[in-house]
Order: sequence, then C-alpha cells, then structure tokens
Amino acid sequence: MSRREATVQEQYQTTYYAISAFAPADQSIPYRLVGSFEYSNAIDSLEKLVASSTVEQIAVYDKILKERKELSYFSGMMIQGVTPELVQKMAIGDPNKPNAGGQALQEFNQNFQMQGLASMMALAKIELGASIAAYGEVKQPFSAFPPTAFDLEPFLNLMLEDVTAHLNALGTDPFFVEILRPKYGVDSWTVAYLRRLKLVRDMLAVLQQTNDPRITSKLAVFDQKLKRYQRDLAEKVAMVQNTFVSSTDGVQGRSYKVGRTEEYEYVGECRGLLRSLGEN
Amino acid sequence: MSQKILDWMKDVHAAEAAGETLAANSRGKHRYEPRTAQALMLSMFLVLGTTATIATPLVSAQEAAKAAQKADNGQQYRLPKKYQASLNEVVVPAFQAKQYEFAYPFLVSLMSELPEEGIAEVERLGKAATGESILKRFTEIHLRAVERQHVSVEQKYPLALTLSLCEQITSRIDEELDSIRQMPALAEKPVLPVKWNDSEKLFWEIHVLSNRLNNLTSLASYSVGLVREHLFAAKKRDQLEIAAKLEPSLKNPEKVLEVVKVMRLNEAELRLVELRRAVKDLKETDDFETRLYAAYALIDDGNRLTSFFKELNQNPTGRPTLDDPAVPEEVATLSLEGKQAGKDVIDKAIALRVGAHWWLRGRYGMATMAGGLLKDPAATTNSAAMFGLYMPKEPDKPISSFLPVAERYPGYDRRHYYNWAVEYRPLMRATASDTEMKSRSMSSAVQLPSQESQFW
Repeated sequence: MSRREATVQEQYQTTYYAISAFAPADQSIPYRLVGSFEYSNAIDSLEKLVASSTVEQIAVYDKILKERKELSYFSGMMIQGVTPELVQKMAIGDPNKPNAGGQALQEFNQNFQMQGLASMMALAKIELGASIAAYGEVKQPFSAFPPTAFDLEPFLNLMLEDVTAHLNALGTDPFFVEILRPKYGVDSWTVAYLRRLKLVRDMLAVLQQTNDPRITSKLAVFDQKLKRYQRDLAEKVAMVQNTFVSSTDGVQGRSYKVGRTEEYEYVGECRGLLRSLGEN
Repeated sequence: MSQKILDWMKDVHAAEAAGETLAANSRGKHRYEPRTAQALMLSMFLVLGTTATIATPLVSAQEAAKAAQKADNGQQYRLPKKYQASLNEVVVPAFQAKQYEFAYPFLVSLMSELPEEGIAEVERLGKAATGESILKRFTEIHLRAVERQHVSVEQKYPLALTLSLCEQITSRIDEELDSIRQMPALAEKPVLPVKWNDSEKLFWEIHVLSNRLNNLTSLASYSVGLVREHLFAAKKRDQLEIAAKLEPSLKNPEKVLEVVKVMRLNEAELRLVELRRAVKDLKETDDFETRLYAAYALIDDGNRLTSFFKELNQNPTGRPTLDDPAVPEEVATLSLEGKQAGKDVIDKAIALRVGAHWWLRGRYGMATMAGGLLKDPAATTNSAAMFGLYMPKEPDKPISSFLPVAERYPGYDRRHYYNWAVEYRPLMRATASDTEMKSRSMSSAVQLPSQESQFW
C-alpha cells in the first residue's frame, strides 16, 4: 500500500496568472464514486435475504457464493501478518502445481481469502460508508448501513484492518512528508490528505463503540497517531495562512487577505475539514 | 499530404506490432471521460467558474482552409493561432498531467476542423512536447467513446484519419467476431450443461457476449456513418481506389448482426430447455440448493423468452424448436406453473442473484474518470451513466495486492484506499492569453481498463 502510494507522480507547472477559480464542493461525489450505487443495491438485496432466511438456508447461499471465486476478497494480512518468506514463495507460485510456491499460495488463500454472505456484506458496508465519509458531510457515515449481528464480526475485523492500513500508509508515505515541508504550499493534496484523516477518524469512531478487547487495546495508539497527523496538517495550514497579507479594497473599503489566490481557496477548504476533525 | 498521416499511423501500427499495444499502453494510465465534446467543454467552464478565454477550440473553417491553401502553395504549414493555443494551453498540459479527458474534446475539434497537414503538424508538435503520439492516443480514446455511444456521427474527419479509424474499427470487429465464434454459446448445436451451476456459467458467458456484441454494434454503425460522405465524394470523383478502401466499413453492421442472430437463437433454445428443467425441479425436488437455482432460472428464462417471442412476432427463425407455434404458449404455462411450485423460494433466489451481481459490479467495476474510481457527472441525472461501468470479461480472479500488477483488475483491493485522493475540482487559472492546468496523477497506483474489460 505505502509502496504504491510512494509512486504518486507529481506533474505541474508553476507560472502565475491573474484569475483563479475553485468550484464549490460537489455534493454529488459520494454518489458518483463507483461502489456507492452498486454496494447500496447489493446490501439492500442481501439484507432482505438474510432477514427472511434460516441458518440452514444461509449455509446454502454461502456454498453457492463460495463456488464463485470472484465473489471473494483477501483480508487479515495486516493484522495476522504475512511472512516475507511466504510472499517470496508466492511470487513464484502456481496453485495448480505441487511446488513450494503453489503450497504457499494455497496457504495464503486458506488464511486470508474471505468468502460468503457475511464477508461480502461487511466489505460492501465499509466501502459504502467510506465513500460518504471522505466526501460527504454526514456526521456518522457508517451508520447509514450499520453492521447487523449477522455481519458484525467480519465488519469489525475488516474495519480494524483498514484503519491499520491507512495509518501505516500515512506513516510511511514519502509524499505526505513532502507536503508538510515549508517549501510546499497548501494545495489539492493537502485537502486530499485531510479528507483521508477524516475518513480514518470516522472509521475509528465506529471501532470505539465496541467492547472487543482485541480492538480496544489498539485504539489509543491509533488515536495518538491520527492526532499527530492532524496536528501536523493543522500547523501546515496555519503557517501558510499566516503568510497571507492583509489589504484593503480601495473602492469598497473592505478588508481581505491577499495571497496566491488558489492557495487561499485551498486553505479555506482545509479549515473546514480541520474543524470537522476537531482542530481549531 | 494525406500520405503524411498514413505514414504516422503506420508507425503507430508498427509500434503495436512490436509489442507496444494500445492495450498494454492503456494499462495503468488515464483515459478520457465519456462525454460529448460540447458537454465536456461546458462542464469545464462550469468547473472553472469563469468564462475566461481558455483557448477556444472552435475556429472557423475558413481560417483552417486558408492555412491549408498556404501549405498547398508550397509554404510550410503553420497552425492557426487559436489551434496553436488549443494545443499548447490545453492538449499538451493535459497530456503531461495524464489527464486526457480534458484534452479529448479539444482533440476532436483539432482533428475534425484542421486539414490533413494541420493534423500532421499537431502530431509533430504534440509529440515533441509530450513524448507520445497524439494521434495514437486520440484514436484509442475515440474508439472507446464510440463503443459507449458517446460520439456523434455528424463529426467528420479528413480522409486519411477516417481511413485509419475505419481500418482499425473493421479489424477490431473481425478479430472480436473470430474469437466470439469459437465460444460454446455460438456452437452449431449448443448443449445445456447438466449441473445447475454449470448452466449458470454458460448464461453468464452469454451475458458477457451479448454486451460485447452491443459494443461491436456501436462501432459498426459508427464506421458506416464515418465513411458515407467520403465514399460518396470518392465515387463522384471516380477515385475508385479510395472507394475500395472505404467500402469494407459498410459491411461491418451486417457481419455483427449475423453473429448476434445466431447467439440470440442459441440462447432462446438453451433457455427453453432450462425453463422446462426448472419447472420440473421446482415441482419434484425438495433440495433447497437445486430449488434456488431453478427458481432464478424460471424467472429469468420466463421473462427473456416471453420478450423473445413477442419481438419475433411469429416470424420463422429456421429453428424447428422455436418455430413451433405451441412454444410461446408453453412458455407462458410453464412460467405460471413454476411460480406456483416455487413460491417459497423465488424471492430468495432473486435477492441472492441480484445482490451478488451488484456486489460484483461494486467490486470490479470501473468508471470513466479519476482512474476509474469516479463516474461521469451525468451519472447524477442519467441512469445509463450511473449504471454503465467497465467490467472484466472474465471475472474469475479475486483482487489481491499480492498478485502481479498486470493480473490485478481493477488495481485497487479496497476502493477507500484511493477514493480520498480523487481530485474532482481541477483548479485552473486563466487570463485572456494563457491558461495553466495544475494537477497530479496517481497513474501508477490504479490500473485502468484494458482490452480485458468491456463497457456494459
């Protein structure tokens, strides 16, 4: 994850012109993100199905779903850990051949491949909630499609893994370090990283509602990390904001701040996100 | 002059033949968004929130003609100022930022309004500035737009570019049809598998096939519209060689239709067999798994066969099983009997299949913007734009970060690892004379649709 993020490319020109414009936030984004419409329809159908079925019938659904490999995903690697040896073996592996690589792949699939109705619903709910969390202004985005007793366990496991993944990625992301440097201003990436922190904050809020000691034991560390990243970004935004010079409009007599105009727009956006994260 | 473009296109084909295929190039790179040129330009202005001049691409045809005349008089071709601005201020920065979606409507204007030597000049200047072939990228994104029916046939292109586009469309159609004809669903006498889950796989294959054929139908109709005017002009001027190159495109719809017809008849025959089996199983079996499969088949086959016979309107198909006048009545009776026998399980079967299908779309679907993560703005008002996604042709591999990049489709194992980085409000700054686009791309982080996927 962090390795892939490290490949983010930066390509831009820096010449400055007179006019800049920044459209207001588009409320349609959560709906336009692939997954919102699709997963909400999936959850709708599958929840009705679970509610009207017996345990035996659900076992039959799971059997049918497990026959289709594409209806599965991998999870748990962050929490349980994958040994470098296993990864190395898998790189050369083919599950159809009885060699070390094939065995390693089988072992990997056995341990981390998530299949069945509950796992599918958990993933759909988290992806859907995350779309709303990052772009929407809903206070509890994951409560729109909350977990039920049926999918609670895979939901929490997945959420724990996803929070871990986001925080680990932020901790090893060279571009995140880059945007905090004084020479780097405030731009769309500052906004994007704040969006990511808001997403993690909302996920953490869900985990904080559980009593599972396996999860609660990790929350303090997660919170500490997240607050540190928030503080770093808040300081960065404040620093840039302080460079804006006060000026007065001669005609109207109004007072306003002057800076690089687009940066001024981004700072405004960042302040809004920081407020939602509890930073003043 | 037209030879110039043909030479460039030959270079492109040579590069592809050497292994640098369009498909390979499209992997891990951005594509354009499927909107008409005008709509995209309008939305760009709206996004900008300003009506400042951003290099207007719509320049009068006279200006282009004047420039062409100069070139014909032996002078070196120089792009008219507005086209030059369009290239330098929008196309080149967009290519450099890998945000081809911004460049596409401007490219449509350049390619359709400039004479052939102008296009050659755009290619030369563009390649020098961006390091990649503007024509090659334009052709690639243009054909994808055609596939999704986002291109107007009213837009005309110079003869050489038209020839090149049609040649590619025809060869693409021929290749796809050859591969489709080999599939079991197109066999002379298709057989319904004995096991329910195997027949489910067969109908999935038919579903995918049907979408592939829809895309080919769009390409075929477009190619006819594209050549018609040039063909008329060529025949009028007795340019038989050119007419001979254009004429194969006219046969494209017929070729596709022939395969569509075989597939539809095969599908109807298979569904009829399956419907009979479904009703039998619903009446005779208590096994819940079998009843689930049978119940879904009953509803799906019943609805599709009813529509099929309605459309057929008693016209003969040449297939005795379908031409029997008692069959439509049998379908109606079987549907009623099956619904009665399977009333305990029908809703569950539908919910399971529909839920799984939507989950599959959420998991593997890719849209047209932001590396496939974001749908077109039209999605909020147009149900077709909300629904349409690129899907893998064979979705048999679950996504894993541990798979090699080339085998991952789409490139993200969780959407929310990437969604936060989608920048949907490109900030553009403009004066009357110049424009700057500032953006960064996560091009290597997300894998984009390739030939392994199709739009449906």
